[in-house]
Amino acid sequence: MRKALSFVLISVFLVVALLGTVSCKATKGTLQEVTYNLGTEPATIDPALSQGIPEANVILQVFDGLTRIDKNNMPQPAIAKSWVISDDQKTYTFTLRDASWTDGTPITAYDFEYAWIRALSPETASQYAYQLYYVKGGEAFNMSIKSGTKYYVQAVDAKGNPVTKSVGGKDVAVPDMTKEIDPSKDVGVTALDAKTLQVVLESPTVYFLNLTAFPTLMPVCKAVVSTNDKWAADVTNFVTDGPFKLTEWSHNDKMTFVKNPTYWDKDTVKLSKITYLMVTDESTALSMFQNGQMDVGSTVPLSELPKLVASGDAKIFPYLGTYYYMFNVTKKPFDDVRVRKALTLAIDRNAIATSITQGGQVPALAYVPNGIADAVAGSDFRTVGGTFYKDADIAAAKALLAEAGYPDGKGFPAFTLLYNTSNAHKSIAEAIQQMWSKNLGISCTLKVEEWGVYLDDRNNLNYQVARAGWIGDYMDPNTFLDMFVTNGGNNGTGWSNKTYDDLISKAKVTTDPVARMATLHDAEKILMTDLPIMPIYFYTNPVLITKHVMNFYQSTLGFVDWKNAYME
Amino acid sequence: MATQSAWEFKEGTLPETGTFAPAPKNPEDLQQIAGRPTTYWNDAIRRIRRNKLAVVGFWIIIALFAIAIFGPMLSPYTYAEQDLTNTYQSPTLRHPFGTDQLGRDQMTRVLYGSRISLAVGVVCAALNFLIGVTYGGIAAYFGGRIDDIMMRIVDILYGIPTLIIVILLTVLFKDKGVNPLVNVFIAIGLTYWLPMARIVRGEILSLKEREFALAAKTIGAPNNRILFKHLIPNAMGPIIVTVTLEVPAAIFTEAFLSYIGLGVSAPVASWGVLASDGTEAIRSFPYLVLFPALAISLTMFAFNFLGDGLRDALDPRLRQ
Repeated sequence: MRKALSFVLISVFLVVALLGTVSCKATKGTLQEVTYNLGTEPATIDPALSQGIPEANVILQVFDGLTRIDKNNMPQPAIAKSWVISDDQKTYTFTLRDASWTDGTPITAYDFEYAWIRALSPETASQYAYQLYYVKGGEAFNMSIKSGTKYYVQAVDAKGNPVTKSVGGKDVAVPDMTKEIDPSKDVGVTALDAKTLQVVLESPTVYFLNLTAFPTLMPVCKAVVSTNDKWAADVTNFVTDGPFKLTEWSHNDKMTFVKNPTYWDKDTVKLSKITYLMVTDESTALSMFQNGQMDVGSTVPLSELPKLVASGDAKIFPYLGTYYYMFNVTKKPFDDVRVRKALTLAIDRNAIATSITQGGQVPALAYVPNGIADAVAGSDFRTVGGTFYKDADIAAAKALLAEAGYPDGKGFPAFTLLYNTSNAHKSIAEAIQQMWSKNLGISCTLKVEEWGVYLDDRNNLNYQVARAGWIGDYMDPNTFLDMFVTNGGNNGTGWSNKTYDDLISKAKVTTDPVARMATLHDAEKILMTDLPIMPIYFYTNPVLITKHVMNFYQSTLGFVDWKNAYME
Repeated sequence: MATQSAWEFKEGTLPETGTFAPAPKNPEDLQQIAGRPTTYWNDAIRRIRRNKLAVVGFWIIIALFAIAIFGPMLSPYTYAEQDLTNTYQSPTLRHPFGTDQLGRDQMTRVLYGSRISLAVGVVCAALNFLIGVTYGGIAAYFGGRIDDIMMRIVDILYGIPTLIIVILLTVLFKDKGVNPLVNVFIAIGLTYWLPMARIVRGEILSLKEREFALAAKTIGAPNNRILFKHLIPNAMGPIIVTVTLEVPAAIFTEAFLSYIGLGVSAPVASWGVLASDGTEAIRSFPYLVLFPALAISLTMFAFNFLGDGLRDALDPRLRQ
């Protein structure tokens, strides 16, 4: 009896499994449906709170900003159908098209004004609020202190230092009650009428129209968001205006999007359904991809990459980012530029890219990666800027180290190389450890830390040499260069250079593109002469993708946009 | 009234003859029955020799230790030597276990890794044995309030996930500049004895009420003699099983600690680290995980076989 039952069960299972594969094969390629592995659960779906690539990859499908980035990485009109830029390039006047939210109400300039003020207001605590600092008064408002219902500038003492008081063991900023900030007047975003939005910038910003397509600057429906602070907690009240609509969010499992029937440009959208999976493990994701359970995946196991690229299952997309090591310039012997330069010259980047990372990465002989337009149309910032040193220039490295007082590495103090947990980081660190030991005769020990601990040690300069990486936030060299100003939040090296700071400030207020790019080139040159960081390679972004997906777009910032994609 | 042996009765106290009267005592027969006088350990060794699997396990362990000590010396490569032009080579005569993602000879790495893994396994198991057996034994033997206090401490420690304790201890010792491997020894040794203490306590609690323990007590044997000579040898079975299972557990914990940066630092690699690195590439280069995994399995089997044999050999109830 038992045997018979198990036999029946097994046969049923087999039949179901067989039917499942058959039906899959029969329908695939005709349905306009795609499954994508996001790789992780997004922390939020509220545009103001978006903080990373997973969140952006959700928000960009369901929202449409003033502009949208096209496949050439250029901003195109979206909710704004046109705009006028003033002669001093500081005032933008956007005219909105007739478009509506998913609940049927029209999108107005008031929604944009509300959304931007909301993203900037201190109580929202948006991590990307600085993307709105280009708007006049944006930074001051974001830094202000709320007292009651009003916002005030932080008080300063006679020496100009900000005043704080201790409340419950924590330092709390003290507001200056004479200096009120009224966001409706003091922040440069104003809805002139329902269809006209005026934005006044702090200083001319050539890439502002790129920024208006960034997740933090997406509009939100004022009527919904101002009355319900849990609007983005689930799909019921999640009112959006993008090409797709979120219909299901089962946490840590999947998200389902369907085509938005109220979208203004719905005729362009071909996909009827997108499913996002949240498979963290790279190997599991690869198995699912190979079994046809997903069409596109954002992660690829490093060791399988060359094989998958050769078979056409993986594609390598450009990625605007630099992988580098940073030196703690406040500690000996890394306070000596000759030591930093010797270590920079003594590694073989080409071997790392071809033998270890194997994803078509470009050896970095400068800091700003390829792919950012320079002043002259069609030119690339990197090509114009050239390279600053040779790869694996071991003779020069040895000479520099000897000059710094450590001939053949003799007397060089032992130091630690810090990296965060990842097998790729570990392999690269081991290779570089060996290169330094072989080429310069200096030894270091490797230390691995979890991301949180690593960030903490890095921000407190509690390291000697550490691994780091930076992915650009927008298509301009400034996103790479302005972080190294004195005490910059992501500087992390303790490096400070007055001329560099001045050049970065100057570039921020320069309108003439030629002069501005020249200034940024000068800044990069200082950075690459002083070498508080040692660039290793420029990132690439490998993606698992079936041949059925057409027009798949992933920006060099890592953002995926499904608006124009379709299945074949 | 049946009886098995003759010498329970003193001369002159033999019962009166009947149908079932015992055979008269014959001194010559007595001499034939008696074996050579043996000690407890002689007897154990004699019995373990008869257990083939245990002998195999014993020799495998000896071989593993020999390989760990001499193996790396015989290899023409070092565990850290890279060759970026020869990454991911399949096993060949030059590299019998292939090469890894940095072109290092995997065989040398496995040989070198055995030093770390075996050291961690054995030292930690020994520490667990010492601490766990003593602690559990004392708690159970003295019982009452002492038992309550000691076991409540164990319960509290049990409530905290072991890995958290291990990580905290490792972080604590790390800043003291202790060798990372010693960190791992101390951390695992100090935390993995909890199950051992419980098992020993349970065994001793029941054993101490048995007649032989009471007998020892009545003739005035001191506490430590009763505990270590009578009670613990009788509890040896479960103890040995626990110890042999803790060897692989310690090897795996070390791999995890190294992965999150609290154990040995790269490029030094233990078996656990090699296996966890190898799993990343299991689809294309299965040999990278195969050899360290084989080594771990072999060690586990060897310790289990030997442990099994030791349990049978040391158990006084199975004495023949």
